[in-house]
Amino acid sequence: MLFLELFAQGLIYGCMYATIAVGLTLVYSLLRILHVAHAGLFALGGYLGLLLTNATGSLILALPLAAAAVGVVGMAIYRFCYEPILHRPPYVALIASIGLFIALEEIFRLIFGPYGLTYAQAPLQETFAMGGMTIRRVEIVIVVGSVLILGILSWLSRHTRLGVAWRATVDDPQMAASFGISVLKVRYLNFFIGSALAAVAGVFISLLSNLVEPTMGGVPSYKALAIIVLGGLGNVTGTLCASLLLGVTEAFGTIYIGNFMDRDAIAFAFMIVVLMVRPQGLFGGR
Amino acid sequence: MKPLLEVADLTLHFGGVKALTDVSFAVREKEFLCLIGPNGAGKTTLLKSILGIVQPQQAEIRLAGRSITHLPTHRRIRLGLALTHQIVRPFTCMTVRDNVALAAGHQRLQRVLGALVHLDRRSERAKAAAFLERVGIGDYMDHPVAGLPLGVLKRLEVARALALSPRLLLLDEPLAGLNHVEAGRLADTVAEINQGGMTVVMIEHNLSEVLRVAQRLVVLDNGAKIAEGDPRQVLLMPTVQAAYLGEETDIAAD
Amino acid sequence: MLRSKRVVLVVLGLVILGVANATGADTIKIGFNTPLTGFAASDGKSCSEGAKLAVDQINAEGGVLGRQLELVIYDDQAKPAQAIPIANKLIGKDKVVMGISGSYSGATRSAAGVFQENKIPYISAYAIHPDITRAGDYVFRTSFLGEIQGKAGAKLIGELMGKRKVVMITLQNDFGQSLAAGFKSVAERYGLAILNEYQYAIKDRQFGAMVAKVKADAPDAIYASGYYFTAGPLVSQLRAAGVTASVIGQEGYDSQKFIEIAGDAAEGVIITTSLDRDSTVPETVDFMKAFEQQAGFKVDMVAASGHTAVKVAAAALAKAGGTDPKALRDAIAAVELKASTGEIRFNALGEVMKAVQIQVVKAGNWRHYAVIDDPELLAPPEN
Repeated sequence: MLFLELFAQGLIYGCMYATIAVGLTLVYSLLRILHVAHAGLFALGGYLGLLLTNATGSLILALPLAAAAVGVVGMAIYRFCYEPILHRPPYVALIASIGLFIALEEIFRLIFGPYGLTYAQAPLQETFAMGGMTIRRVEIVIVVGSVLILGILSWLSRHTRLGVAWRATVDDPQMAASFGISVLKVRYLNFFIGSALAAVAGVFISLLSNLVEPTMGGVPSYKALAIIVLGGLGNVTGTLCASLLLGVTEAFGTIYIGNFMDRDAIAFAFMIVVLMVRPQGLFGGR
Repeated sequence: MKPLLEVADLTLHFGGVKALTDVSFAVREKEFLCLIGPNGAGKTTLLKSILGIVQPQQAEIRLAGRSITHLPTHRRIRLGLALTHQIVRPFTCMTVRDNVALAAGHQRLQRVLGALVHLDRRSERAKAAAFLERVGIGDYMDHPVAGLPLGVLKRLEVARALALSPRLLLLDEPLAGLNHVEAGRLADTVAEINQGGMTVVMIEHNLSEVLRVAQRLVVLDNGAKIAEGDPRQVLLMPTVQAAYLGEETDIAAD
Repeated sequence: MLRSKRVVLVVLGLVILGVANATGADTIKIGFNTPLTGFAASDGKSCSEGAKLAVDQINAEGGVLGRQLELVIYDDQAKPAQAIPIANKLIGKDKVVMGISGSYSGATRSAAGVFQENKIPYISAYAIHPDITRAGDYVFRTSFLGEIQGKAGAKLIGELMGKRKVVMITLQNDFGQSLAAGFKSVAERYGLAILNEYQYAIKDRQFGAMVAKVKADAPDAIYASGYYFTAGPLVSQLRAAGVTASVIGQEGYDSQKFIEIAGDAAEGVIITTSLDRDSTVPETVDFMKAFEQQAGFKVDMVAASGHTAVKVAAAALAKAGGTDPKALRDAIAAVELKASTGEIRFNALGEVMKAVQIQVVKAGNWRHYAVIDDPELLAPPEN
């Protein structure tokens, strides 16, 4: 029973990690940029989702709005932060991204205050019994929601012109241009989708703990990076597997070795072990 | 008659290396122009500049009288250019037909929402099949790209370029790596396409085939244009012969 | 044109500086290091609001020794490395007569060393690490030591509430660990059996795995250390999973934000703290009202601590009759003050001896539950 509950918790964490890490891997696969500011968009999504839900009383309305808004912000970040420095060595983009992330944290604190915000009426908190465990509705929504969203994106990438063009561009941007594909449009689309996913993950987290704070992007910022390295940089399937694996490892690890190592240490220790065995990541090797 | 393509004073350097200096030429509609010259003369760079894949420091490029010098690649393709690459790199995640279909559908990609909503890709797939037949590799339609012989890949590349419905087809050494028979066959196919009304600019090293199909030649050497005109006359010019000296190319006219 | 503009600006700047300096000369400066940015920014804000209120109140009544008080605030981000240069700046450049720490233990410890070395008095408003006052005789603390509060928690659970089986959830920092140490040191005395202890980091907000394990342990009571932003989610997740055991926390929970985050799950949560919301003591009642009016949000323990520290500083200044550091230090050591967070009286080490307030969440507000006034149990160390 405990085992099942821990596994379920691991699944929930894993789905959340997946939702935020996939966006990061999408950006990396297209532009080879480690988009640390992605975690700032995650936090922005959490804030907007919460504020919109409090204002409209409807999470169903707030979530897509927040995701779309953050998607647009993501595109703006590409245009104003990354595009001007694309031809420079990759560490320039990394530094710019880190700087942007720190600035975002401070902006949140300045605008929304340091105390964090809570839902006026936290939605999806009802609990019910399932298989002997007590589950909150939000936990089901996270798992089902992530699977659904990622599944739809996967389908779209295979069965629509846009999706195929996107995959072609990731594969070989120069060739894609020769196919009449606007590489710029694909980049914007990439950032839009990745950022919207981060926003959804941010809203999920805010529902789980009924709290959004300026520093909420802190842990995801480096953990998501670690996940995409673990999965094999640029590989979406790898990222998904790594996310789930990490979620489950954390769930069990915090209980059984939590008194020696804190949760992040467990996550990184696990990753170091995997990377020692397979340095290119689980699915890497490009 | 106004030329279909005009290139004026194109200059391009990478760092300190001058790849192209003040290259100018024009291509008439329905013409079959061949671009020749020793290795490293800048021929591929010239075609890439026309398509916008590389940016010259200075140039004025016009397609049907309209300046395209500052347009991005996908816009130039929309206006009627297409380029085949010397090193063929089709998308390995798709079949032969899907590669061509992707190119055929490029117009639909211009509007993002439209591209998402309009899911029916059958018309593109049908067109792709037609193009593949035209270049003679219809049998390979549903093959995955991996493991195909070079001859097939080269024809795939031509089909892919045709699928963009261009007015001007740029070909970068389509015959490279093919044996004598295959090269002849593919050159014939390209000539047929040209006879069907397509304007063609082709870079080629295989001078015997060039002599068979080209209507006009432009010769580049060390980034500069050194000759232009009737194929046989151009190849007899001393400057052209000197440029090729030391190259393993037999330029004796038939 | 541009040059003359620049000259005007420079002259204007000098004039402003001059004016600022002129007005500064008359005030008594008290240094204040607190985290205004970073992970502890919420506590920094609360503490500075409390301290500022005290300064405003004192100045409104004419200040101290005929002069106005001025709070010189610097942001240390709760980082020891930042606190040291700030302490040096306060002493060397701003020439403060004393310092107050509105920050966490790590930063306070570092700054305390600097103040002690320069023989300038320093008061820790709410940081609980024992080594702080051990820096020397110029360092004081107006709040409980972590261990003492932990001991009170054990007595609360074992004796007042009559529970036996306890699971501990400990925050992995100075705060959580000293509470846990105090709790464990007297747990047996009050008949408590500690089933398990789990640890978590200050950044954690998702406790699903831990909650599942605690549920399996089936304790009577849970002794959980944390701040409102960790305890809020923790308690809410515990209750959502169906864990009904009593939850006992400490002053880190003491904020309306805890109740906002945990919602209904906060009902019945009990904490050890220094602020009694139901107090009839005029100092406390007046303070709470004035704070809510000035700051715009309900008072929390950290704000009250900041307020108390400033009041102690002012009382000591008045008693010393001047700003001589040694006289000031002696005055603080001899202070006897009734503040919102209790009766402030220091022992030889600079620690306070005061009763522990127990509060419970009832109908969405903190209410009085009990008081623990056990001098033997709560006696702070003398050295």
